[in-house]
Amino acid sequence: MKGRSVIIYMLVGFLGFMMFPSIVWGRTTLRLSFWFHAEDLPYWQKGIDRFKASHPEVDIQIESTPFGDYWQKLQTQVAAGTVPDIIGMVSMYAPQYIKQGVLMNLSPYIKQENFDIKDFWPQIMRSYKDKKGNIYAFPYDLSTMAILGNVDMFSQVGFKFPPSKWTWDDFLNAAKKLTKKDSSGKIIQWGIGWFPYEWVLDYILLPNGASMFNKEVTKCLLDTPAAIESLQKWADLYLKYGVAISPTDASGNVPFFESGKIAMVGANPEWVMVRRIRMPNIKLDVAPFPYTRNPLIGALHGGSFSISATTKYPQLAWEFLKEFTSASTLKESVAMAFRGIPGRQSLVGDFLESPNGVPNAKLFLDLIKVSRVYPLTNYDQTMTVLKNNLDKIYLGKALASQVCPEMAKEIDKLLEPLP
Amino acid sequence: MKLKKSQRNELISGLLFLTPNLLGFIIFTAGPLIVSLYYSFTHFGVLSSPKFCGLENYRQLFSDVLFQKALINTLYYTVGVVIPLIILSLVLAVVLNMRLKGYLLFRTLYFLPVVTSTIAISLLWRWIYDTNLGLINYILSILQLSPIDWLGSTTWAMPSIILMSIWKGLGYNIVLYMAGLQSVPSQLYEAATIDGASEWQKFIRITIPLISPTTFFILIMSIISSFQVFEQTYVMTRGGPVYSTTTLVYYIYLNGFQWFKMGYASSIAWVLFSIILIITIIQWIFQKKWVFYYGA
Repeated sequence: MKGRSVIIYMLVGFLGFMMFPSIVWGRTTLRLSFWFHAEDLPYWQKGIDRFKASHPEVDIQIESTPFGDYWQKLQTQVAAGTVPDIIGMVSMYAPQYIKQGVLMNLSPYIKQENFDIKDFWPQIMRSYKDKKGNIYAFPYDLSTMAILGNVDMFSQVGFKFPPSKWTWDDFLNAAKKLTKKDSSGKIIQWGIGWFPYEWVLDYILLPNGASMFNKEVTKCLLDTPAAIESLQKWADLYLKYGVAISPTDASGNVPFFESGKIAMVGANPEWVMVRRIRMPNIKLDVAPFPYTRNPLIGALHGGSFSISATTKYPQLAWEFLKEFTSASTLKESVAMAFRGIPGRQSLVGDFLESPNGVPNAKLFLDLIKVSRVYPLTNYDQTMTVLKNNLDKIYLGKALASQVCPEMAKEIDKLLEPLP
Repeated sequence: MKLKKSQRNELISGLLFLTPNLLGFIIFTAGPLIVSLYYSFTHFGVLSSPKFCGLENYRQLFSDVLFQKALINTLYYTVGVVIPLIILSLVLAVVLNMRLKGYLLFRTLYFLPVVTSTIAISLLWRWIYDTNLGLINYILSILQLSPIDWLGSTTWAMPSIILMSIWKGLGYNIVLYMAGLQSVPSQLYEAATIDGASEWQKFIRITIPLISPTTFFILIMSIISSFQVFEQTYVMTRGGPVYSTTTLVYYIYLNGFQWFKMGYASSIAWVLFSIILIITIIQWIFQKKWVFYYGA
């Protein structure tokens, strides 16, 4: 009996030890969920270490999930009530999470401390606010897109890259010169390897005087003549001119670009950063998208961090959020890493001086002034409908003029009011 | 009837041994089943509480074009996989059963895909099917044939997935058929030989009928698993291009985990369950006509 009692007491003690670590050790764990990758985690780690230095009683538990799977995981965590304390967020998904009450309202904390938010880019903050102007996230970066080119490949065909602006015909001519075939007629080098789906689609539409949505995001505009023309032109790069790889290729444009088989891809600063780290000896630079009507125009998206509305440690999470989106953290994690246009305007200079940047990096900043953001509350389903319809055009199953009217109607049914 | 003490103790012991399994079944199978049935009668956006809506989800299915497409794709996949799988498995099992030189090695090789993760195999076959770097198009180029965009073509995407699924499922069915073939009494073959039957006649008149229980088992299990295809379409094509590989389970995934429509996804799941159940019942009823149990 005595032996059994000892065992029972030890079991209870062990369970207590495991279940109440903060009581036993006096420590708190904040869970941070994000899509870190190998190239940028070392930069973010500095911000985490800085917070831990000022809060030695707090542990930060990093939960990293690839971007493509991150949103399903987050949704599952919301359903299960196990949302991490600090959540990575993006402007495309923020409205639906704000609408569903998943994110904590930061405005009371901002007001209480008179916290200065003027340094955050106002253009992106629209995605992180509700109708009443309450703020739910702080941006860590902004994303505009450009054409990333292999400068050496352009030089080999006698083309100076990057141009300050180029028409669609200039772009097509360059892509044709950059596309090479072997003696059997098989393509061994492509001019361009990028097919726009989702939020990057506006980069082929806007320079052509078209757009995905109207300003209020209440109507899909993919059935306008300018949009139909843009989509067909882009599809013809593959279907008619053979200067682009197949949009559904498993190999994808990234490995081909990194191995010098594609001369151009679409890229935002983060993708430029990864290419620069993986291709250190290759000259890369960026140019605006080709235009027929607007030489410099774009769409704006970005990443942010927010706090779960169900966190047990709102004050601590708020302290972490302030630190993780502070100028000192974003300078190292985002600006100097060239991970994105830093979420704070004061860090523009550091962004331009990043060793991972490209000579024409200023283009990404210039695009902010001529970009707009249009948040969606039904992002995933809208993009699924978009992709499956765009595939019809990109794969040559139907002309853009046949697909776009029905596609626009289908997407109109999915558009919901913003929170 | 009152149990004796020893019987009661035995009963308690038996229940205690069953408890872990029962608990697991209740928590991870029965419980979610019942909850999903309830959700199928609600609008449940995952991020908000379920709201009862009666049969609205089920009514919506009738007019949902994408659901109909997913159902047709699933039927296409099932027929495309099950029939060749059964025929090929049987043929290979018969050959392996001849115990020719190296048959053990081949049996192992055929079984390796079975024990390999479907996700890993799907990733591998994605590269085999790649338009520019894939093995299949490389072979086509040697034969002076044009490359095919296997996974990017609405014509070829589903056959590509079917081929991969057949390759993966062969080994398991071969092993089952080999066990079935070895259970056929040899004296039947001897008697047939004495009566002057050819090999083909022995195969048709003896082998096929006597392995019909194995065929029946493989048929039912293959149909059930084919209706639930998901990993291949998720990894290789994400249901595209143009929904050509969107199957019922992939459509359930889209609705439940991407579009925040868990209630609607649950209704699709229960419709899928009903279809599989009906098909299985029909097979059970008709087994009397073609399944023979030797000695019964």
